[in-house]
Amino acid sequence: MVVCGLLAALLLVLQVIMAPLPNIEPVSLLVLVYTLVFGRQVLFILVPFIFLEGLVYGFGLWWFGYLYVWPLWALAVLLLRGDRPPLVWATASGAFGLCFGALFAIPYGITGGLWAGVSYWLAGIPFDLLHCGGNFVLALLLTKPLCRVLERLRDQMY
Amino acid sequence: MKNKKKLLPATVLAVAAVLLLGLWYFTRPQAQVGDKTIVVEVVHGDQSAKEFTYQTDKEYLGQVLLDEKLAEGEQGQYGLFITVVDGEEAQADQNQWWCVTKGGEMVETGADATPIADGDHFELTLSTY
Repeated sequence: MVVCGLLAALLLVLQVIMAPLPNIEPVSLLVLVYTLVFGRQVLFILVPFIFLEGLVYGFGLWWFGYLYVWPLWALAVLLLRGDRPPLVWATASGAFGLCFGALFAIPYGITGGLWAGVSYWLAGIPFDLLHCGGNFVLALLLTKPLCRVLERLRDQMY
Repeated sequence: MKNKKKLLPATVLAVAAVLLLGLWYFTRPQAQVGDKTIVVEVVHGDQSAKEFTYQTDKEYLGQVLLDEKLAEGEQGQYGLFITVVDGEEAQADQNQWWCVTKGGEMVETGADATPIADGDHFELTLSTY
């Protein structure tokens, strides 16, 4: 549990540090790596992380998006889990980044009507493209090395 | 052939990204060139309201607000983030922010990416979240 809390805090700190770069974030990469290394236990990391996001940024309408976006990504990784080349994870992570805005638009569509959600999504497409590119590059370069490091640490602890 | 198969998902992703870029480009709000008259209504924290009428050839709301010195702000990762309007600063520690609406409807873009057209009515309201 302590490890899960620590990994959740690491997610938040890195997200805040990289906040000045629009939609370039390490959270997607780390959720991917955490899921590959810890499997379903990643939920014990995501729940405190999502709660911490609310505490830091406020519990606005946007926060409800995070309630399902990160778990959905972890679920997608669990379904794809296996010994796959970095390009596969880079593509999956890039696709997640591309879909991020659409997923986030759901609460806005529910509260403001379908077209409010659609216009929210359309206006954010440039940021989704940045998110896609950032996720793709980070996952391509860092998935395997980070997995190796985390697996070694995990094996030393348990 | 095997290499081409491995690259297929990444290729599909690239094509999807290009298609989304095209979708955004053709659906984005178009700026209107030429002289325009717009009204900006400022609703302060004490609920008092003031209207400002501007004749401008600028294309985006942020340009007008800054040029007319009605608002001040910071350039953030999503563009202009308005912090002061008509001399009143939003207090971050009280969760205040300047909400931009057009004809009472939320705008989906930041002020410097919100196009203006002749006859538009914008509202800047000091809000709390």
